[in-house]
Amino acid sequence: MPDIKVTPLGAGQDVGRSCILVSIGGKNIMLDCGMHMGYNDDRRFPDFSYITQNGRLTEFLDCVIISHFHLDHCGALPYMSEMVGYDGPIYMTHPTKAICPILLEDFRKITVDKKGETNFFTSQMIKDCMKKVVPLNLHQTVQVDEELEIKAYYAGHVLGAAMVQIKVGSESVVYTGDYNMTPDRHLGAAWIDKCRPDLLISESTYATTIRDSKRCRERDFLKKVHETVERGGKVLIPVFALGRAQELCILLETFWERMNLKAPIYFSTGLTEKANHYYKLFITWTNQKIRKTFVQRNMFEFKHIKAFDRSYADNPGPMVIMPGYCVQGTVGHKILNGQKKLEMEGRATLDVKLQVEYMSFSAHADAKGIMQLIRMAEPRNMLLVHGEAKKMEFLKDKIEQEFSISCYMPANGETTSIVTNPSVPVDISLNLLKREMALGGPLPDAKRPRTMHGTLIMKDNSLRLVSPEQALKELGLSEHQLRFTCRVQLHDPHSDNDTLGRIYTHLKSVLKTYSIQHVPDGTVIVESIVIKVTSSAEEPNLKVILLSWSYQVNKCDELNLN
Amino acid sequence: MGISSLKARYKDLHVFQLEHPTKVIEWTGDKNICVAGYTGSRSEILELLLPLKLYAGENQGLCAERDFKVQHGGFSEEPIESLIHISGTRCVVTSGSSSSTLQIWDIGGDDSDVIKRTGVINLKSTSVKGCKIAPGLTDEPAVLHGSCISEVQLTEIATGRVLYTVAKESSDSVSGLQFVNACVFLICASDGTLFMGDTRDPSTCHYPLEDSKSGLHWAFGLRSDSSQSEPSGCTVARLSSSGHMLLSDLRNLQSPFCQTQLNVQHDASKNDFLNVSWAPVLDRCLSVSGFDGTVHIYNTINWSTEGQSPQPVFSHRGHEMSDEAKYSGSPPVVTTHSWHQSRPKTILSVATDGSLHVWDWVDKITDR
Repeated sequence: MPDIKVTPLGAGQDVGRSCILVSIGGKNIMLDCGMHMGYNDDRRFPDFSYITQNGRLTEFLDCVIISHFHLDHCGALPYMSEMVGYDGPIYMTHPTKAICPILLEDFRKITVDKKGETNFFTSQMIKDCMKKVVPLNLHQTVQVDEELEIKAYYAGHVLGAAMVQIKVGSESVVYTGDYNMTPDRHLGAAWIDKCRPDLLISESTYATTIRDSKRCRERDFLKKVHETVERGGKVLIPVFALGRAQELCILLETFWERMNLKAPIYFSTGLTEKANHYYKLFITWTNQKIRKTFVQRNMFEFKHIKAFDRSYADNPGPMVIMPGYCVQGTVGHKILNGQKKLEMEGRATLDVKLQVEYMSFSAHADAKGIMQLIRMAEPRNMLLVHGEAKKMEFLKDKIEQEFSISCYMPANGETTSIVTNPSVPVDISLNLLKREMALGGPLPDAKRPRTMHGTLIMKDNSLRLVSPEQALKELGLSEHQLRFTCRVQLHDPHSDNDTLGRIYTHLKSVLKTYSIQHVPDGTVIVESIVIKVTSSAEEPNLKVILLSWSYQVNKCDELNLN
Repeated sequence: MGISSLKARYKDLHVFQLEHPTKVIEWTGDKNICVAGYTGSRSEILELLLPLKLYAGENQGLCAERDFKVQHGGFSEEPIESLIHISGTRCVVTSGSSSSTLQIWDIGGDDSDVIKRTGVINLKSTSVKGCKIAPGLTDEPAVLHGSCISEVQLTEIATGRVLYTVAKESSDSVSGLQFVNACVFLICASDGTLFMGDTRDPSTCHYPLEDSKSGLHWAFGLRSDSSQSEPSGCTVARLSSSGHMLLSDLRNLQSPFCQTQLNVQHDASKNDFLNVSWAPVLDRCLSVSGFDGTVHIYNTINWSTEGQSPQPVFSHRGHEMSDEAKYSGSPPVVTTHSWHQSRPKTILSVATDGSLHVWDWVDKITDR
C-alpha cells in the first residue's frame, strides 16, 4: 500500500527538541535538527541511529529542512552535517539562513569557551554547514530533484519561521515547525492555502493550554516596569535578542511615548544591534502594519532605546535594560530559577536582592490555533508531535470528530505509517473516450467512479489509456481471437436436427431481444454464440450440445451464460 | 483600560477566551473547575486547571504559569444547562436542554484525559431550560433534581434508586435547589416561592412571596457556614429579574429580614443567567450577575429595607470592555460567576462571548 512514514527522533518522551524523519514516495527528508537544551551530554543530540547505525547520512537523506532559527530546531545541525556527516542540501528561509549561524556560534562559545565542553562542533564546522544551505522564498516551489518539490509558507512565531509543504507526485506532507495563529506587534499570523496534504504534522506542546490575553500579559509587564522605574529602580529584561526582544522593544517604545517617560532603555550591544539590522533587512517578513509605517518611520529605529555601555552600569536613576537570553549555566539563568546566593569566581558570594519576575511572551498555537490551521489546510490525516499521548486523547478525539480525519501521536522513535490513496493521472485517447460515451449509460460524473475498458500503455514517464486496437497497432502486434467451447450433454429421443430445432424454439421464446438464427447448415447462432448438436452412433439419444463463443465481455455478461 | 485605573481596582486580572461559551463553572478540586458548552448541538465538557501563578504565593513572580490547562475533556450530545460535581468523587452530573435524562460522567484521573459518560438517570419529562440539579450531601452519591416542583426527587447515582420525592402537587417551575445539610434542602421556584424539605419527612413547607409580581423570574443563593450546617446558620438571598433582593434567615423563611432594590436593568430575555452568590470567606458579602456584562459585589452589612438602592463595593466590567464585545452586535452578558473557595476576593466569571475572567478585586475602603 502506498504510504507516508513519519518517525520523530529523540530519546524518550522529551519535548525539548524537534527532529522528524519523513519517508514519502521513496524520498527521505529530515525536518528540523534541534538540540535539547536540558542535557549536557550526547542526549542533547537526536538519535541518528534510526537512519543508519554507522557512517554518513548523505545517501540516506534526500534533503534536510529547517523551519526557524531557535536552537531546539537547528542547534544540532552542524553536529549532524559535519560530525556525523551529511553533504546534501539543507533548506531554510533567507532570514533563518542569516541568523542561524549567529546563534549557533553564540551557543558554541558559551558551551565550549565558558563551560569547557569538548564533544561539540567548532566555528569552522558551523561555516561548512552553512555552505550547504539553499535559501527558500515564501510560496515558491523548489525542485529538490525530479520528483521531490518543497514550498515554504509564513508561520509567524519568529522572524523567518516557515511551515513547509513537501510533495512527491500527488502525495504531500505539510510540517508546521512552530507557528502561531494570532498576529503580534511585529509579526503576522501563520497562513497556508487549502493545499489538502495527505498529512499535516503539527507541534502540540501548547495544545492543552488556554492562554491569557496578550493585553493582560503586556499590561502586567508594563505595570511592573513602570512601578520600578517610577521609584528610581533599574529593570533588566533577559530576552533573546532575535526573538521576542523586538516585540518588547515596540511595546516599551509605544508605552514610553504614551506616558511621556524619560528614563532610558538600553539593549546590550552585540546580538541586539545585529538583530535590528536583520529586521530592517528582512522587512517583508514582518507584519503589514510595520511594513506600512516603514515608509514614514522605521519601527525598529527606536527613540528611547539605545545600545548599552558597561560604563553606565553604576549610573543612578531608573533605567530598563534588555541584556539578552540567559542560557543554562549563566548567572542570569540561575537568578531566573530563584537562586538567592551566587558564588562568583575569585569574589565573595553575592546576595541576589533584586526582585525577579518571570513572564513568557512566546508565540505558539494552542488547541484553537491547531483547529484553525486544520481548517485552512484541509489535510487528510493529522499527526501531532511533542505531546504526551495520555494527555492528548481528548484533542485527538476532537480533531477526528470535527474533521473526520485520523489523528496520530507517535512517541519519539516510533514510526507511524499513514496510508495514502494517491491518484494516478492518465491520458485517455479521444477515440476511446468517444467509444465509451457511445456505449450509453450515465454520463461521466466527477463524483462517481465508472468502470471502463482500455489498454494502459506505460512508456517513458507517461501513462496513456487507449483502445485495444490502437495499442496493438502501436505495439505492432496482431490481435488474437479467443474462442471458448463447452459441451453440454442431455438425453433427447429426437433426431439431432429436431433437438436443435427445439433448442432454437426455446431460445427464441426466452431471449426475445437478441438475434437468434437457425442456419440451414445445422447451427443455431445467438449473437456470436454458435450452438451445434451431435450424437454418436452407439448412443443416439445422448445428445452433445456444443457451445462456442468468442471473448466479448459486454455481451457475455448480459446473456449470463449459465 | 488604563494601567493606573487598573492598579487601583484590581490586585490581579487575567482574561481568557474559551473556544465555546459556558454557562456553568463548577469546582471539582482546589485548583480545578469544569465548564461546558451550551451553544451548538454537540458540546464539550472541560476540566481546567487554574493558572498556577495564582497559587505561587510569595514566589508568584517566578511562576511563569499564567495559563489555564485543559486537563480532561469530553463530548456531550446536547447543550449543557447545568453541571454539578459530587464531592469526594471524580463524578459530575449534567442536565441538558434536549434530552429527558441526566448524564453521569467520570472526569478521569491521570491515566487518560477523556471524560467518559458512565450512565444516565431517566427523567419524567424534558425541559428546554434543563432540569435543575444539586448534589446530595450524604456519603452515598445522590442528586436532587427536578424541573417543576412536583417532579423533584432525590436519586441515588450508582443504582438509580429514588430515595425521596417531593409530595407537592405544584407545576411551578424550579429555578434552583440545594441541600443545606445531609437531609434539609431548599427549592426556589421561578416565581420566588421557597420550599424547604427534609428527606426524613415526606411533607415540605412552602413560603410564597408576600406580593409576588408576575413576569418576574427569581434565582436564589444560599449562604451556610459549612456543608453540614444547621438551618440556624444559614441565610438565603433571592434575586428577581428586576433587581429586587430579599434576604431571609432559614429559621424564618416567612418574613425576609431585609428587602432592597438593586439598581439594575430588567431584561426578560436574560432570565437564564441570573446569579446571586454569597462569598465563602468574606462576611455577608454577596455578588450578583446576569443582567448585563458586569458582576456587582455588595456588602450586605449596611443594607436596610427603607434605604435607597445599595451601591456595590465593586463592579467588574471587564466582559463589556473586551475587544470581542466591541466588534459584535450585542454586548456580552455574564452567564455565571463563582467565588474561589479559599482566596477571599478571587472570582471567576464567564460571558456569552466565551470570555473567562479570573480577578482579584480591591475594596477601596478596607484595603488601604
